[in-house]
Amino acid sequence: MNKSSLIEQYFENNLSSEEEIVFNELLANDKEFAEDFHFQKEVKAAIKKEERNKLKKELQDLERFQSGRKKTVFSRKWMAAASIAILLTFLGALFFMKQDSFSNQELYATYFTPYENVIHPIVRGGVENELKTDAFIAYEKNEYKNAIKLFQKAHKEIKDPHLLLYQGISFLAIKEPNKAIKILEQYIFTKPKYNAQANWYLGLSYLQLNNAKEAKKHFKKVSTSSTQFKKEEVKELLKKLP
Amino acid sequence: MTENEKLLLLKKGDTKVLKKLYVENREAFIAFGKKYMSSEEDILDVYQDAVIALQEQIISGKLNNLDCTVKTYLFGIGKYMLFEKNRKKQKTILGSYKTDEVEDYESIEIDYYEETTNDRQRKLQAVLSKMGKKCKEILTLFYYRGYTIEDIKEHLNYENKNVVKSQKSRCLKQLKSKINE
Repeated sequence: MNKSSLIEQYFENNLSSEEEIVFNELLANDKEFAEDFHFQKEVKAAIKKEERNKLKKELQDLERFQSGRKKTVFSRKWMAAASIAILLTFLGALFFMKQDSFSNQELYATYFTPYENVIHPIVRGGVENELKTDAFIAYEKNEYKNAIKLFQKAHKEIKDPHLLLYQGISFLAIKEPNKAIKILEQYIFTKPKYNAQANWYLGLSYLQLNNAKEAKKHFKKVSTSSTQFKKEEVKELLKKLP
Repeated sequence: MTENEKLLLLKKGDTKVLKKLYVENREAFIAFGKKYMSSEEDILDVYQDAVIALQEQIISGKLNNLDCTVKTYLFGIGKYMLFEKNRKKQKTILGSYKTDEVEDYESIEIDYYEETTNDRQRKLQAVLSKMGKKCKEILTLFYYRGYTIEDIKEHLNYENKNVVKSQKSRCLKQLKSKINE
């Protein structure tokens, strides 16, 4: 077998498994072969550096052009946006003077914000469960799909019922109200500390499903709970719902 | 252009397509980067590196059976690069950010930022940049663009593979004698 073609094939990613054995043997025992190979590896690394630098420069140039252009476009766009916004406010005011009704979806969108993480302050490297930490990091970064997976895993491991609450809210955040309801019901079943919170998010889940009747049931539970959680909002909502 | 056509052009080293990809995902990447880093300038610096690393991955054929979009892959690489930049800046290790990703973005990042520059490397780079156009082209195609000898023969209209081989080894010899001067 030709030594220089072996090296060539190495760089072409074309070595068969037999050739690879020969290659490794030569590399260990044939000084000239090894030197030749290492030199070519160095050449490869140097070319890589050089090509990267070249491409980086090109992208930097493109970036300068890009951000220069953005600024002028932005100001014109902004003007247009501002005038539209003024018009919309005006029309909106007219609209609300005439009628004060909202669709369930609109109400949902107005009132939904994910509940803050009150049970697990994120401290890296602490003794707390790593999965739980990862789950809350994902949750706080609004990466709900990932958070759901992690909450599920963490719950299997440590059985902390509060994880169900956050998993349910995550489902709601990615518009899967049916799954949210299932998990939140499961949470309420554990007679949890955050019962009002669970009912609030259950209500919102039903709003998303356009089921005002069920939604109201849960909002009423929030309003009669012993906590101050969302008391005002629930009052408003119960007025607005049919 | 379908995702596959795009990949094919990128594999050939089409910088126009690469720049288009850069512009198309730029805004989204800035928004994505803001989660980890406040300076837009730093985010863009990382973004450029991520685009280059993506190009390299495509060239080496690692994206041939990709089951996510090019964008997802690009952002995956970018994410680890953002972590690395943060780590270097704050000089503390913020712990591992590993998630259950299928692709090994972290090793792409590590490979990209690997420090290989020693005196010999610098000298080699200097000599390379002064080399004739023909040598540079052959060496770049072979060692960076992932062309085989056969591909180079086709691409540069050589008569046969042996001509390419001997041209390439002449260039290597030339390089070697210059850095050992």
